[in-house]
Amino acid sequence: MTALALLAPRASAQVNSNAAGVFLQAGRAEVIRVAALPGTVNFALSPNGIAGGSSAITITTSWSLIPSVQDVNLYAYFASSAAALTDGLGNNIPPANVLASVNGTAFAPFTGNGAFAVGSSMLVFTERIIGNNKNKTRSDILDMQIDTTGLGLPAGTYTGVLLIQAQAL
Amino acid sequence: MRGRGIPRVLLFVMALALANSSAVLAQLNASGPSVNLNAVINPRLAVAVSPGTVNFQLFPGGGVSRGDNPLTITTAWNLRAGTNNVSLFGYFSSAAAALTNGGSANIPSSRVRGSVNGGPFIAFTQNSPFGAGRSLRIFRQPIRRANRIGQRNDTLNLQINTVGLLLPFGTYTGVLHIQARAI
Repeated sequence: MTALALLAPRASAQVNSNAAGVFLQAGRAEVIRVAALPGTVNFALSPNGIAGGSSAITITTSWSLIPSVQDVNLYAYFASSAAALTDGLGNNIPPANVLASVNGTAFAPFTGNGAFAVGSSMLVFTERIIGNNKNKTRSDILDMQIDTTGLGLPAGTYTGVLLIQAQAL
Repeated sequence: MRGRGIPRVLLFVMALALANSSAVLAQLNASGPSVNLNAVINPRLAVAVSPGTVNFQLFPGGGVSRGDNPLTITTAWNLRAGTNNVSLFGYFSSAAAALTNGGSANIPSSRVRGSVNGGPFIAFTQNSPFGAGRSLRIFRQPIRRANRIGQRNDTLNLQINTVGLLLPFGTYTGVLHIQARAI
């Protein structure tokens, strides 16, 4: 009897526990890819002047993004703001003397700030992501020049690496 | 009521987590390609001479005649690492006939002498990469890292010694070549 008396109130009372919140997120994977061709650009430098690259660079950027992304930015940049190209003997061509034209626009030096480098970067494009371009592929043309005016570079072979990287924000 | 639903503190934490989660997801950096840049500056070695003509008034009976003007030679270079020196030579195409009257009378290169930057006159009888026995070295400039790009001016005074040649009257012409080599 005692036991029943004790159990009876609990069976009749209604107690709700707290509701634990669990976030469920079903998102598809975000993807952004960048490809560039050719892999090498050659320059026959003038000792004191402007030389064009042997080929323009075609950059293909593809993305599949979630709705919250607002912009896709593509940057081309050099790892060092002092030496875009070097002969390995202490003679350098700084990014300020490397210029590029994006899709036929005016040539500009690699002196900008970007997401990946400060003072040695160039913004190739910014594309605002709206409803109809969350999945997209675009191509851009980057023409390059090197201006050796005033650098006083000795004869030799100068090499460097141009990095190209995209960012979705 | 406090026991029911989601406590405010938990809501706050959840909202914060959601906000942080959105921020992380909203920034995506692609690993991008790289493009190799190769740029070449070819070596340069240039020589300029002025004036382009030197005249001599030769003595009929033989003697030493000076040219009417010294030559000013400008040598400019931009050289690769590993280049050890630059040498400049003056030379004639023929040791037997530095100048000729177009017939059989010749002035050999041994009778033409040059004085470099006021130094002693020396006959064009030296060897060079451009002519054996008919050359005169004007300078040999060591090249170091600091002067891989450089320029210098030199003066070359010329003489012709006709003593004992018994040359007939006439006009004698010849071409003095001036050429540099970096090695």
